[in-house]
Amino acid sequence: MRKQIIRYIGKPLCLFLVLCFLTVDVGIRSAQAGMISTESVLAAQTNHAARSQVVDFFAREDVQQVMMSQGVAADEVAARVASLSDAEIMQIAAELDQLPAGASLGTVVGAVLFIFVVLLITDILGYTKVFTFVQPIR
Amino acid sequence: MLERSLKSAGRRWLACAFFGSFILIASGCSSYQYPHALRPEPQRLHLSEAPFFAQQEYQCGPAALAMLLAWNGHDVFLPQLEGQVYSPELQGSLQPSIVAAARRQGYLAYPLSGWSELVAELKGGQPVMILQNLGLSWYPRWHYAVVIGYDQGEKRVRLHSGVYPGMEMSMGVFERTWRRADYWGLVVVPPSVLPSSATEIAYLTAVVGLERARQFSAATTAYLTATKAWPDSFVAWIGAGNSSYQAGDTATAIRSFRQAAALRPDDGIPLNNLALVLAQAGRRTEALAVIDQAIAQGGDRQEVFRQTRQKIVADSAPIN
Repeated sequence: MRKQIIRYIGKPLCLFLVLCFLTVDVGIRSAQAGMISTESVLAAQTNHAARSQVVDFFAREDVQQVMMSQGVAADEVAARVASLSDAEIMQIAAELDQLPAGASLGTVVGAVLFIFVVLLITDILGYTKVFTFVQPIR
Repeated sequence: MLERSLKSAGRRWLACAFFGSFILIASGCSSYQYPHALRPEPQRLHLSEAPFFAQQEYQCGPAALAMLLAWNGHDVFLPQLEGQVYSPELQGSLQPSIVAAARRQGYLAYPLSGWSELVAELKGGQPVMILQNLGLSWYPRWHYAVVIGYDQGEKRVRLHSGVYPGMEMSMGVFERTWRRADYWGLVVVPPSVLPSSATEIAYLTAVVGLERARQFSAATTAYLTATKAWPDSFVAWIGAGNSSYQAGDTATAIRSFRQAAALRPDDGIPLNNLALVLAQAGRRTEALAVIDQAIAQGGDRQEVFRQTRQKIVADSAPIN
């Protein structure tokens, strides 16, 4: 009796479920038509601004000199900055914001060292590969 | 970590403590450094007209908010504010509920941090709500008060605090208690007023909050205020378009999106939103032309633009 019921409804049920899952998948992938929110435009702008702030910082001559003295090629680090996630960039930009406008070289060195630490950690986690001596944990 | 958890525990208590806790502060050993931002003029400032509301029981937050709203011409009914701000079983921090309550009245809540912004706001004629920890970091007593002035010569800050209007506090004590609250401050202004310490991104973030609180006409005014200060602000024009559309002001929405599109001719986002407004207004041919232009621009959101086109076509298809 039970076998009969399963045989009877099995196929349509399977098809139905397959269709359900297909719809779910399409629902997730398809972009949402409609107004693009101010919030998302602002977020994109903020990320962009933070990224260029970090890039500009590394382009500064005094910063590059400090990095040279630390034995790190400036363009190498700049290339790796590009691979950092938005969240990581925001973190570094927030740190740079703390610097006073006419920061002395000592402060700048501190900031650079901070960024090195961030990159070191992300290297260890395997997100970045700035330092050749770091063996990532995965 | 420990400090943070204690902090939130303290907020949950909502302890607006009084002056007994000053004894604790006086015995604190942190050295006081004169805030360098205060050295420039003016030497002294006093917003003597700033209204005062005495707090009830533990409700320093609503009272402080009421003072800022009343200063900006809002007809304040304190018990209503207390209902919106004060929560006996509050979870987490109280600051967001103060910000939210200001937005619900259609006012813009602009957070600030630190001395230079505090002085800029006072100079601009706005009293500033601040959070203080009147206790110690490991034994917090949180309290909201309103700064209405200061005097550099006498090293005093003047506050409307608790049940004391125009209370004077030494700058050292103020600095230490404010620092323990991470220098949190807030100004509350009508959407047509730009706070003196406002920067573009921070201001727009505050207006997005107003928009999210569904105060669409207030948000429109605030975004347009931003476009006066920063005429090239793409986000401000997008925000003005989105909010005015939500408020039912099609003409302003169309004008704003066109302005945004002119600022970034290679960006499809303003065109996408403009097309939807035009379609809504029954201008289908124009809408389709605009969305086709957006699709031609490409970019990350091209798929969204395509969906928008389909939506416009589907919505305006003749029904047989």
